[in-house]
Amino acid sequence: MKVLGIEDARSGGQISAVHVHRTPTLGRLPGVVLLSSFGLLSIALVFVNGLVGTTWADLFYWLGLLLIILPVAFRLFSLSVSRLERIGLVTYTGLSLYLVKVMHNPFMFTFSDELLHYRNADNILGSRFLFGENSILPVSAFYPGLETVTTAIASLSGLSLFTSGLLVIGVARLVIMLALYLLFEQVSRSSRVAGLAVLLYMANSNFLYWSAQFSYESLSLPLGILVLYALVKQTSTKDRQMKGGLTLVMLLLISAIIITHHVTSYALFTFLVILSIAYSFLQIRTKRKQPNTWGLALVTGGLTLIWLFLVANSTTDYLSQIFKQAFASVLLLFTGEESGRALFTSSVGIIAPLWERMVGIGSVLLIFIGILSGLFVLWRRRRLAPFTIVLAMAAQLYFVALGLRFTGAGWEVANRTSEFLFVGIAYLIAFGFGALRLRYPKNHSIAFVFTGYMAILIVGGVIAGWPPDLRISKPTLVSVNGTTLQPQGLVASSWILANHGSDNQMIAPTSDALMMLAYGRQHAKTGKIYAIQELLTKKHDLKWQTEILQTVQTRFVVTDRRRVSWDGMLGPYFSPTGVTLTNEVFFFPAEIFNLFDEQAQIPRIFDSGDIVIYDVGGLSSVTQTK
Amino acid sequence: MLRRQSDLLLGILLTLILIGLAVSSILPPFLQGLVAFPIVLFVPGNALIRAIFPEANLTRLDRFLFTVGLSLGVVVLSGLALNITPWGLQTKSWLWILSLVILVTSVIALWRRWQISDMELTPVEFYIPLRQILLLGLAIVVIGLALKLTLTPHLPDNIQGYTSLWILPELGTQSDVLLIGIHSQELETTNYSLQFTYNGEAIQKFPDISLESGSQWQYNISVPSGQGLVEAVLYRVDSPGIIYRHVSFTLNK
Repeated sequence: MKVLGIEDARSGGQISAVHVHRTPTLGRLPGVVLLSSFGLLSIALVFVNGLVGTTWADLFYWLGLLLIILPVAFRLFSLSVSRLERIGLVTYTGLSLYLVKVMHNPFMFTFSDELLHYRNADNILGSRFLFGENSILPVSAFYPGLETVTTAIASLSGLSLFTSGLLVIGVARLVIMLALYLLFEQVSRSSRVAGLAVLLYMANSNFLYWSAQFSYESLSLPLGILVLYALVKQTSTKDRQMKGGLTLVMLLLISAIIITHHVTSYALFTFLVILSIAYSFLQIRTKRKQPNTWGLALVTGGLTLIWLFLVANSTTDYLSQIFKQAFASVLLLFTGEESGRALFTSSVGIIAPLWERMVGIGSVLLIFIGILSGLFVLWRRRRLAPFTIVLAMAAQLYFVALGLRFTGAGWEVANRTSEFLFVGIAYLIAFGFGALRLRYPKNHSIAFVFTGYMAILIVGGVIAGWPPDLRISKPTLVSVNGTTLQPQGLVASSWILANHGSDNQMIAPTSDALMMLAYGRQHAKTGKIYAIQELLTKKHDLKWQTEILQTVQTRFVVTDRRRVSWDGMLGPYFSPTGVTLTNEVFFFPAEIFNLFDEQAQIPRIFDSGDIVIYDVGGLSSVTQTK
Repeated sequence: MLRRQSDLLLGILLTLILIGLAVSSILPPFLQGLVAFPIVLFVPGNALIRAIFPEANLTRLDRFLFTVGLSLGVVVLSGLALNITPWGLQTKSWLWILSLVILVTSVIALWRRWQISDMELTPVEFYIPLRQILLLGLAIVVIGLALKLTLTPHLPDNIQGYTSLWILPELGTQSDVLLIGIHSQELETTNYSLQFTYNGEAIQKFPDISLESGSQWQYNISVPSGQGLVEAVLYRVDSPGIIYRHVSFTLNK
C-alpha cells in the first residue's frame, strides 16, 4: 500500500515517498487522541460546578491541559511518525484546545471582545447592512469580515449568532493549524520540524482563549498564515500556471483580511515588505534571480490604504492612541515617573501563586534559550533563506514585547503581538530541537526533555496570557429546580430592551455596558471618555453630573456596586457568596453606589441589588429612544 | 468523465437543494444548518479552486485548505458586494450571490477540466484497522461526554441569587398607572412584602408575595394624579426591617 510523506530519519528529516505494506496510516494517532481526550474530560469536570472553588480545581485544570498536549508532544518528537499522523496530531490538538474555550462558556459569548463583535453581527442581521454603530468600539464595525461570515451562516441555516460564531471560529482554528503546518513544512522542508513548530505555536499566551474568541483577529490571522503558505509555495514552484493561480488565491485572501482586521493586514504588509527586501538583498549578494514579492507587498499596502481612507478612517486614531499610550508608558518607566506594571497581578489585584510566577518566568527563559539555539542552528544551515530570515526577525521582536509587559499601557500591545511573533519563535525553537533530535537519534531522553519543555511553555503561556480568576469557567447560567437563572447584567439588559426598546443612550460600568451593548442592543458608553468612570465611581455635585450627562446625551445611567463591574472580562457573572456589602475591596461604598438617590426627581427604575438603573432623561433632556 | 466532475456537480446539486429548501422553508433549523454550512464554508471555495487549478497539481491537503480559506474569503467579499445593493445581507440575497458564485465558478471549472484530456486522479488509499477505529470511537465518546457535562447549566454552588424590582409607567392608559414587577432569581422560594408610597405616604401594601426561583410578579398600581413621587420598597419576609430593593418614579402631570 502506498503511503506518502513518511519521514526517513537518515534523510535528515526531508519528506520522501516510501512504500509500506498494510501500515496503518494514522500510526499511534487514535491512541494518543484517546489519551488526550481524557484531558478534555478533566477540564470539563473542573468547569462544571462540582469543582469550582475547590482546591482540586486548579490541579485538574492543569492536569487536563497537560494531558491534551504532552502525549502529542512526546509522539511528535519521535522520528518514526508519518506525515499524515503528524498533521492529524497537531490538528486534533489545536481543535481540542478550541474545545476548552468552547466549554469555558458554551451558552453565550461573555469575553469583552466577543460582546463587541456580537453586537456588530446583530446589527447586520437586524439592519441587513454592514458598518452599523458600535458605541464602545466604533472602529470594529468597519472591519466586518468575521460578522459577515457569521451572519451568512446564521441567515442561511437558521442557527443562532452564537452557534454560527462558534462554527466560524472553529473552522478558522482548523485553517490556522493546517496552514501553519504546511508553512513550516515548506520552509523547513521537514514534516517533523513542522509538527513541533505548530505544537510550540500553541504555547503562545493567547492561543488557548484569546485567539479562540469570537473576534476579528481569530479569523484574520488564520487567513494571514494561509497567505504566507500560498506565498512560500508560489515562490518555490516553477509551474507558471500554479504561480498565477496562487497569486489569484493570495489576492482574494488578502482582500478578505483587509476587510476583517486592521492589525493583521498591517502585519502582513510589513512581513511582505521585509521579505521583499530580503529577496532583493539576496539577489544582489548571490547574483541569482530571486522571487519578486514587491508586487504583492505593494498591492497589499495599496488595498489596505484604500480601505483605511475610504471606509475605516477612524482606525488611525484608535490605533495611534494605543501605541502612543504604550510609547508614553515606556518613556515614563525609563524616566522613573511610572513605577511599572506589577507582573502576575490581575486587574483586581489578585497575585498569582509562587509556583505560577516561577513557571511564568521559567517559560520566558526557556523561550529565550530556544530562540538562541534555533538562531544558532539556522545561522549554520539556512542563513540565506529569506523566509527564515524574516521569521527569525519576528522571533527577536518577542524580547521587545517582553519589555513592554513591564509598562502599564504597553502590556496590552505586548500581549496582542504574541500570536504574530510566535510564528517565528515556534519555528526557531522547533528547528533547534529538530536538529538536536537528528544529532542524537538514539537518545530517547531528548523526547522527555522536549515534552518537559513543552509542558513549561504551555503552562507559562496560559499563566502569562489569562488572569487566574478567568481560567476556570464561571457560571453564566444556573439551574435551580429545573429553572435557569441568569446573572444580573444579562437580566438588566433583557429588561431594558423589552421595556424601553433598543438604541437608548446610556452610560454604565464596563461589564454592564458590554452586556447592554450586546444583549440589550443599547448605545452604551463606558470607560474614561466623557469622565464616565469618574462620574460613576466618585461623589460629585449635581451640577457637574448634569453637565456630563448632557454632554453624553444619555437617557439612562447604570450603576453597579461591585468594583469588578469595571472589568469587562470578570464582571458579567454571578456574585460569589460570603462577601458582605461592607467589604470595600469588593464593593463601592453606599454613597457612591446610590449616586442619584438624593435627587428625588431622577426615577430609579430598576434595582437588582448590585445593579441599579436610573432614568436621567429629565437631567440630560433626552427622553426619546433614538 | 462524469466521475471526474462529481465534486463540482455535487456542489451545484447542493446549491440547488439549498435554494429549494430556503424557498420552501420545510426543514428544521438543525437540518437546514447541515445543508447551509458547506454551502457557505466549502462549496464556493471548492468551485473556485477547481476553476483556478483545473489540473490535479495541488495536493489534497492544499486543495482542502485553500477551499476552506477561499470560501471564507468569497463570503467576506460577497457580503461587501451585497452591502451596496438595496437588498443588503439577508437570506435570499445570500442565497442568490453564493449560488451565482458557485454556479459561475463551477461552469468555468467544468469547462477548464473538459479541456484537459488526460487528467491524473490519484486514488485515495487509506487503511484504518478496527482497533484504531475503536480507539477513535472511544475518544469521540469521551469528548462528547466532556461537552455534555459543560452544556448542563451550573448548580447554584458558591453564588448569590438575587431579585429584581422594577417600575414603569403603564403605556396606553389614561390615568396615572404604574407597572411594578418583581423577578426572582433567588436560589429558593422567597417571600417578600412590598410597600408603595406616594409623596412619602403609604398607599398600598402587599404583605406576603411568594415567588419561586425564576418566577415573576407584576401589578398595575393607580396613583393620584398630579405631581408626585411614587416609591416601591421591597422587603424579604425573613428580614423585615431591612430594605431589600427599592425603585421610584416621578409623576409630572
